Amino acid sequence: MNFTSNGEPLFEQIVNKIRGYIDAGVYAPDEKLPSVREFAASMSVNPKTVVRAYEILEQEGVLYSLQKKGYYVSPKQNRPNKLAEFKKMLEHFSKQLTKEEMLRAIEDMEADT
Amino acid sequence: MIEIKHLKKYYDKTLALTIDSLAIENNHVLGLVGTNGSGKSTLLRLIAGVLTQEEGEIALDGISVKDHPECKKDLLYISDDPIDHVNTSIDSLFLFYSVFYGMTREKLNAYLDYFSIPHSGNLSKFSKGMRRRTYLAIALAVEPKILLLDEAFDGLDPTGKKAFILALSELIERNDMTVIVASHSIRELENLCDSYLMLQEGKVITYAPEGLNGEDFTKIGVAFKDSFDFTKLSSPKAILVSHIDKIGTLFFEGTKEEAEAYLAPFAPAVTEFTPLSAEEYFILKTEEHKHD
Repeated sequence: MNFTSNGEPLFEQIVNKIRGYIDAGVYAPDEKLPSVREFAASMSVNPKTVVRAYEILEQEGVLYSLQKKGYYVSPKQNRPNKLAEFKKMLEHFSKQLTKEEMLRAIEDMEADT
Repeated sequence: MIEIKHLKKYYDKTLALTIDSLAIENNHVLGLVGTNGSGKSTLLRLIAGVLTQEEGEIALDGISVKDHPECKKDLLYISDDPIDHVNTSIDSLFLFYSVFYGMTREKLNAYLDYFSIPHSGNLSKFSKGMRRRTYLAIALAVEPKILLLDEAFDGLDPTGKKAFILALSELIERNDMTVIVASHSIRELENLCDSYLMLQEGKVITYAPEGLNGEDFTKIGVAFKDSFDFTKLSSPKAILVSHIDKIGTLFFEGTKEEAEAYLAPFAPAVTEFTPLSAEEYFILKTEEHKHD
């Protein structure tokens, strides 16, 4: 496992970096990301670390891959919509918990992290 | 694709190199590691056709190098000590290489700019690093399908090395290249190679076709409350690297869980795991081979 000074594993840093690029519009839906080899060379990391990051993002639906061609940004509708997921979760819990109980549960979750 | 079968090379009566079987795909970088005299340069020269083997076959995309030397037109070999630099100008080098390989002057100049090398001049006036970068610029400008580099990074500073790897990575992807880089220092090759072949005294001591995964072996620091006979820890999977007083260091071939299970009966007071670097792995393999 490769860590850098802020304690986050290298592959996770790369995952977040790529997410940032996509959110900022650097890479558009269906646009191809740099090849594993080139990206690894530009960041001076092991290609295996880049593969790991790309595969994680593919699993999340942020990227898709074409055999022998590389990794591409998923079209917007295929990407997990975090806001919609959160709204669904709130609706589900508001049926079972009071507002006070929900706030307490969130505080408990915060204390754990 | 490069295929090697039952290869044997002799210098006089001495067996200098023997490789039973090796296949290297396209879009692939093989790291060739070994001490000086281990057979790395011999292997590269045999693939390049500069030397001929006494036994065995080397084929490029199915065509035997020995029988059809013309298949080498897509192969470029850069030795660790190109002797033509003694009094050569860049213009002469360009003329020489463009006789055998396709290469435009514009492309060469673009790569010379990339490495901050002047477009003309005599190599005898260049520093070691500049000479090395000149040959690397030629290697990139030629765009061979197969590139063999002997001690590619010798004399290069980190900036030059990174610049070269960046440019080479782009070409490997675009042209489906096969690259073999030989070095006595595996640390130099980390992050570049897809697979590693380690030679010692002309023999293959280890081949890692999937590259080196830092999780396959661990370095373990152990410490004991009472004085301990560390030789008890040595086994085929565990090499005792050093020990002093009650503290020792081991290289262990296996996962962290396997290492923990292995050490459990000895009940160390402290156990610390760090991933093995590629260089330490190479040392481990060299030591293992010595005991065979």
